[in-house]
Amino acid sequence: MPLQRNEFLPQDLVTVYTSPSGLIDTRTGYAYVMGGLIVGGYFDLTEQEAQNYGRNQLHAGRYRFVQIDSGATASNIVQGSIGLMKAIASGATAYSGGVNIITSYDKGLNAAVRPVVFLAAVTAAQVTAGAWVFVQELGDASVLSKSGGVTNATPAVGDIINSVASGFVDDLATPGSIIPTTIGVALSAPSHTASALFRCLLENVPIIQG
Amino acid sequence: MGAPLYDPQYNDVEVATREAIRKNVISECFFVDTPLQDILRRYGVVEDFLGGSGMVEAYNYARLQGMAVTPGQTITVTRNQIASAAKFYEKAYAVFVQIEDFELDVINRAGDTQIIDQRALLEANLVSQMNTMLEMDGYRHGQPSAANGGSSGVSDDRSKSSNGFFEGFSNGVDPSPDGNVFTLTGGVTRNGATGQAYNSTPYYCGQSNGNAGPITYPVLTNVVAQLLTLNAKAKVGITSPFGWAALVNMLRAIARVDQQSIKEGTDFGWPSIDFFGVKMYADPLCPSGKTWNYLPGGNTAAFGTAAPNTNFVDGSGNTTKLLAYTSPTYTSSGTPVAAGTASPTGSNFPSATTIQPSETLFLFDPEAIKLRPTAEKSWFFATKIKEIPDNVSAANMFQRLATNLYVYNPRHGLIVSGFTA
Repeated sequence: MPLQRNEFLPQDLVTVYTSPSGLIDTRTGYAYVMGGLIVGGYFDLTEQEAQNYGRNQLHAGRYRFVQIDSGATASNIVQGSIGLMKAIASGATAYSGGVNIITSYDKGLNAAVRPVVFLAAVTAAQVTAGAWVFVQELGDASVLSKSGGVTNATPAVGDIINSVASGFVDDLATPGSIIPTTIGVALSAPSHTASALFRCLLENVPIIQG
Repeated sequence: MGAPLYDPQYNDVEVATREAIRKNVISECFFVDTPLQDILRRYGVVEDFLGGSGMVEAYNYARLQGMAVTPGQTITVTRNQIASAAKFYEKAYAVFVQIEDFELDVINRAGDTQIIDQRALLEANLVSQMNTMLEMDGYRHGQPSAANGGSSGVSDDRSKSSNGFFEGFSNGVDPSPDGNVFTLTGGVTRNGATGQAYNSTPYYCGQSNGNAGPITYPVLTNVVAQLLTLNAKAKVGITSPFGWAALVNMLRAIARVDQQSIKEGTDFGWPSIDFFGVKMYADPLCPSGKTWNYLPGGNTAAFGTAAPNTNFVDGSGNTTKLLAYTSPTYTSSGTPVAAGTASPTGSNFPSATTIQPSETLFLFDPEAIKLRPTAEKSWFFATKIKEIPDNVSAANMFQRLATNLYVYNPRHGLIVSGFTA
């Protein structure tokens, strides 16, 4: 899908949609395949635009409309957790299903390959029924530190942030080293004592077309 | 993807009877009227912008010499500069939407199944949003912030917006209702070589602790007198609906004393009050300390975060909501005055105090204001559709307007603030 702005955002960037266009025929339950969102459509937003379309909780960056993998673990899909592009992270070369199916971090895939940041929680029922959401793949993202807070006792802005089990993130050291699962650098200091959202500038995330 | 809601999908009633559809009717539940522009147009402030690097407005700011003389005496005759000019720039506005012609032309095709022309609905919304932005910008300013190369005293960057009343009606010392102090307008330095000629001194109805106060009959007569002193015959007042309520309440309370000066009713179709010939109108988009409670998207504390684009913003992304700010520390003959002391300018602003701007009233002679839309039709509410080259059905629709609203004779108007109903 080319870089473009979606022509119509039925609700906002945090909404969990039940159709790949965001529009449902209330009679048949089928998706309207027109006029709405397009799976794989991605676009860059300024800080003001992201705030406006993201309930004042999103920041400047690139956002992509994707489908949640029907086998994903819903409990690991929450605001700020990390997901993976299934087709790439599984090592497939045929891009089975395309790059725009995102699964949860716990599926034993290569966690170093093509992470994205979830913007909202989905329920198990939503995953089963089919869920389409926006994820963030570049820019200033809010990520969620691991249970109990990050390892680093003195976390600071600029620390290297890595993804860890279940799709949460950790700050190992100040400033830390870039490793394959590095997702970026901290823009706000993470908490050492509790799992909490903090802002992270996504780096080392390659662009992928599809 | 959801399954059909019912099986069988349609019941007997639905098969036999359709909904009663009101074709081509849609209730406006978002936008509000824009009386400022309408009133200004009716007073004839529109002057087409025919092109040029900017709009120059000449003004006289000084006198030549004169005195009583003794017949036969000699005089050293000199000449000082008496005139200069302000220069304002044409500003550019755009409203836009992405359209998809499968949806608009195939699904929403004109005919029996079309309830509302969706394309017309989008275009009407673009016009309303354009007018809303212009209306809201008309009150504020169009200068860069001090941090972005603007003059000191300006905290927010609105350089793309119309120049507006806040910067026009200022004396370079007292704050506007948004807390800015405009030492410049149209490139003219206030209180410099031009002296005080390009000033407009506001009036603050609040108390010495910065809390709002009432707008009283003497306040109104005094601000009209202030304008009369500068040869200005105020004809128009614009205030928020709650400012209008404050005026009505005050005038009604004293009606037994001077009833003949009160006229409530409509002029040009807008609620107004007539005060000695000054017609004061209510504008829902006038800056206010209260209307944000009721305008859609304004009160997020009570109603939650507004969904995208369900709130009112002007061309620079600001709302009509006025917030408290700190007044400058005034000086008298170069010496700072104590906090809370009334401004030496006569504005009644307390020095170095947290100010509640509350409601605002803009009194002016329309001849001091110009609205300058371009004469070029492609930038005068014209719709332009730009196809997306690699997209089968989507295109971007833009509607553009080049214009500016500015004050070119600041002393023929002033801003009253700090009052509540």
